[in-house]
Amino acid sequence: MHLSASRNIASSDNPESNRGVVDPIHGTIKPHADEWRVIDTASFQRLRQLKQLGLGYLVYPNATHTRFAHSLGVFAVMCRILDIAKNKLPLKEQQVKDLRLAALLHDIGHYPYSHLMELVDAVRLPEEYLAANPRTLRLEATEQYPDHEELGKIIVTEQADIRDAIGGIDRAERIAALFRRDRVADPQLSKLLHSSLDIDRLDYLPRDARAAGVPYGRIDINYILQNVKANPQGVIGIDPKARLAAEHFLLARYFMQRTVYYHKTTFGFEEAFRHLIRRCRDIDAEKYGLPANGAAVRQIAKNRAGLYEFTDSFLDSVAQRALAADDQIIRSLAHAIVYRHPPSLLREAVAIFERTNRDAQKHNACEAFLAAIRARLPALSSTFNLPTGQFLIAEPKSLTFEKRGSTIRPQDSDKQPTAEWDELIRLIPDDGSEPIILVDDPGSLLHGIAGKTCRIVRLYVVDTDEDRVRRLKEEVKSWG
Amino acid sequence: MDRRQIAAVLALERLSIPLRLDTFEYRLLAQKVLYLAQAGGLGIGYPYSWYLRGPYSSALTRDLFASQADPASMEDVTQNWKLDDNAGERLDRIRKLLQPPKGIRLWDWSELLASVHFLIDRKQAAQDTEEIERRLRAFGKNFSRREVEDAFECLKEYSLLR
Repeated sequence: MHLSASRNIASSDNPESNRGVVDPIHGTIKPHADEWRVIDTASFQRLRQLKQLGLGYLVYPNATHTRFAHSLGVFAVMCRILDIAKNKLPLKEQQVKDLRLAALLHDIGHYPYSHLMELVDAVRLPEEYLAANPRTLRLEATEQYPDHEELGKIIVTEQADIRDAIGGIDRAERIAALFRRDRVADPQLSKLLHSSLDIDRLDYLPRDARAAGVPYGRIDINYILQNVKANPQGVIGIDPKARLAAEHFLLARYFMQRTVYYHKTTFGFEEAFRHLIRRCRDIDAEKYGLPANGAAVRQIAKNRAGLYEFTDSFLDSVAQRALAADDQIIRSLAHAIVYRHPPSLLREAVAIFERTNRDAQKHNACEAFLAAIRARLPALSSTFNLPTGQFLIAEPKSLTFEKRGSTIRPQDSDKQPTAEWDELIRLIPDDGSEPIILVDDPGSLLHGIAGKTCRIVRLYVVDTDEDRVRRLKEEVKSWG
Repeated sequence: MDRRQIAAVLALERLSIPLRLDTFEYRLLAQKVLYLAQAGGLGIGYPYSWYLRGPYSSALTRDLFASQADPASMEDVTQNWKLDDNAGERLDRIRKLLQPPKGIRLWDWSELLASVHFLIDRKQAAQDTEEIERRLRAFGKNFSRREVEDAFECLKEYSLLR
């Protein structure tokens, strides 16, 4: 990775402020004076209390970096891309300013421990996997926690400090519309926001890799950014000479997911915490200090004191309270988290197959393992005298190498565009010919693997009895 | 499949929309009808943003393809899960809303309904059919004023807009 601590970002047209911040990934970042006013608000400073990698620090002790640092990093990437794009795209000065601020504020609405709490409604508890059929799914809109971008909009439009620093409600709504990708007025802006260069990923991969101390996410970010190009039609891509850096960028995400984001212990802790939150909330939200539903979360985002307390320590205190719960499952989950007793991985099934292969979809190691879990877990739970709630059936999102792999088929290329289509990485040739989609190029490694998907299914148990865990592992291994 | 994926599959089934991802039109239809279902009060849980053809959720696209690539789980959901009565009733109302006026194809109508709702709900346009028509034209849409008005009235009739 080419790092240059002396580089100044976004400072060339910045007569109003000499104030800068040193960043290990991007060098010195120098926001404008009006951007500093936003950064200095209490609502923005809250991001210092949210760890970027959630519970990742329980495995990688140095991974304590925050959403605050990441937000500044994404801002820096956006500034560099805008420097290149503004000469090629008909962007007005105000639009450039708005895009910079939208990048800075794109994560302002994050929950404590980031995605951990946000995704609590997606969790399926073991009893839901194993319940007698038919199982009923309740879908009341008010029950679910909203996504972090909706919370972000509430914060920038309703928290007075940040709304005023942005310049009032009209601009605050405009900025929120940009980071939520609601902005309808200008298709060109929409395209830029959906461009093939995922500015979020360009920051979090190297930042997370550096903090965790693993090499996999150390993409050549400077070389990629130095080679960003826009063709006369406003398509954003990269110069073909940076193609290997771009391939590495795509592969890096896969390796970071397998090693860091889906690390068996981190994922086990996070899954246990999600189960804990769901159980506490559903039994007695008030007792554990949790918002009972989406409306209560929105209320926190609107309330000044409530928002400032809505940090990682908010969830830490929920886990502390849960230690004294009457419910054995809740107590066990809380104990695992507070005293760092990782859920034990009993077994993991991994299947990598061609997404369109119907036979492989139906007959693979993950499907076989899930079928065995459904058939045998109740008896296992009974034999070993452990409630089923102390088992965690985890299905991390399937992995792909490029969006084409999961969502876009090659024959769709001449059809109507989708956001994913625009987000594919493109090479912009010097001779003015049409941009080439990287995964379409037979000379690219990605061409051969972009259609594949990687599925993972895991079974954990939350139990401190080491001998029982050992016997459980042997038993689950014998399922075949 | 997580709860959100299960909800999406069950909602599409209740709306009689086939989970066909092999054509752009059906993918678009799935996107728009689930947007409208959420606008109608169902907590399915997908975040939507604006793209060239109206409200769009990349998380939903990813999940629909993942669901289709997991036929055993799909079978489990369609055979062993059901929606609660309240959700079923709300979806039945959405199904009526989706009946297109004469001369408009189902996916175009769903796109128009979803787009008009998004523009107003997210304050990207006033409740003014002329402004909405102009916004849509900027994205290459040629819906007539009459069609926009029909969509607007339908959304109000079915209480998706006030």
